[in-house]
Amino acid sequence: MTRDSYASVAIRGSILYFVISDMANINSMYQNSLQFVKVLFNKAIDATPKNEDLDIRLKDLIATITKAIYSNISRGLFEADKLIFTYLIATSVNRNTGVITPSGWNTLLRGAMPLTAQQKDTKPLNPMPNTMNDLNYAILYSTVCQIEAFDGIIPDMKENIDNWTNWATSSNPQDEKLPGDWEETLTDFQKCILLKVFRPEKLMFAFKNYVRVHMGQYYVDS
Amino acid sequence: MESIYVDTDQLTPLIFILSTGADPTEQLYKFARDRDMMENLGTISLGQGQTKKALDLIEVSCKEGHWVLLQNCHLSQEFMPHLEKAVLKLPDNTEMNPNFRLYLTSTPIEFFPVSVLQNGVKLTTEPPRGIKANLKRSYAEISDAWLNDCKKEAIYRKMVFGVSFFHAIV
Repeated sequence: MTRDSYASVAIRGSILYFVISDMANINSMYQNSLQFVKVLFNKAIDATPKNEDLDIRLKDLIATITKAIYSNISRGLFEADKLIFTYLIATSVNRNTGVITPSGWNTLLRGAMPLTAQQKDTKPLNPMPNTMNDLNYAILYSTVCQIEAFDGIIPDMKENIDNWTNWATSSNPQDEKLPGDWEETLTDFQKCILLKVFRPEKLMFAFKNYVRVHMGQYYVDS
Repeated sequence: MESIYVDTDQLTPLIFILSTGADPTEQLYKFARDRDMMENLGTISLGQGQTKKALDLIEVSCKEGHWVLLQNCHLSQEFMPHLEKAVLKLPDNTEMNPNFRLYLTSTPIEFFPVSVLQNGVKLTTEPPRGIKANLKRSYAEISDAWLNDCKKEAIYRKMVFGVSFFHAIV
């Protein structure tokens, strides 16, 4: 049916609405009704220039709707909360498409997960005890157990300890390339998890980069 | 202001969310002057005994198509239920003039009526960040006449700068 081909636009609308309603947990003034968001949504549809090509039409709709709703809500947020809002939109979109897995998301938010008895028995020694404390190593090991993309990273750290130490102790690791192939094999989101392990204080900058890459410059200039 | 104004209408209030050191009143007054609405803008600073005055002002302004600014909702918890009722009743008002606008200011508070928040346009106001922006803001409020008013001009200006600078960094 014709209307099914517009599902992607509806999905974006629903993602945006649920991020907006979550914002009320941060500040009780950040309340927006579904009705209010729907009005913005419909206005943005009317404002989107028409296009015969369905793929372009869908892209235009999603872009216009996201921008219109973001601008409207964002000006009602305090500066400190704006990045959280855009980062939540970016990650929610990627969680919806599966680019970000539930285990990845949980690790970033909550840190190490409980290990099975077997995982505990086979846990290697901390490969970089001088740069990574045991608590942070627990996060890394838990990540390796859960996300395939991280397979082999612990032996690699041991082998190329100088490269890894340079990266982890550089002044802005979020802007530097990871050692070896890891720069290519890990997604932007998985790099955020590595940053959480080594340099959690740089995460906000990494989130900003993430929003810029996945949504555009417009969403980081407030 | 202009870009936000188009998103409001006679049924959609604009809520300024305040933070310490920021006051949007002047901003709104300037906008009202630009639109020749200054004469028709009624301002009430909420506090004890203002409930009836505020409700009457809303009612008259709906009819006349005036603007209403209710300041400091956070200081008047007892007025909030009245405000909620008044806003919910707006769509049923048969004498509604489409020029009517309701402006509210409040710091973040728990007791602000959710229904008003949910359907209103919200705007945060924050003091400028950084020393330069702060100094500029302080100086924007100072007139030449005021600066020249003192006989010991040089000392006075230095003092003004010193105080402004101090104000910017605390």
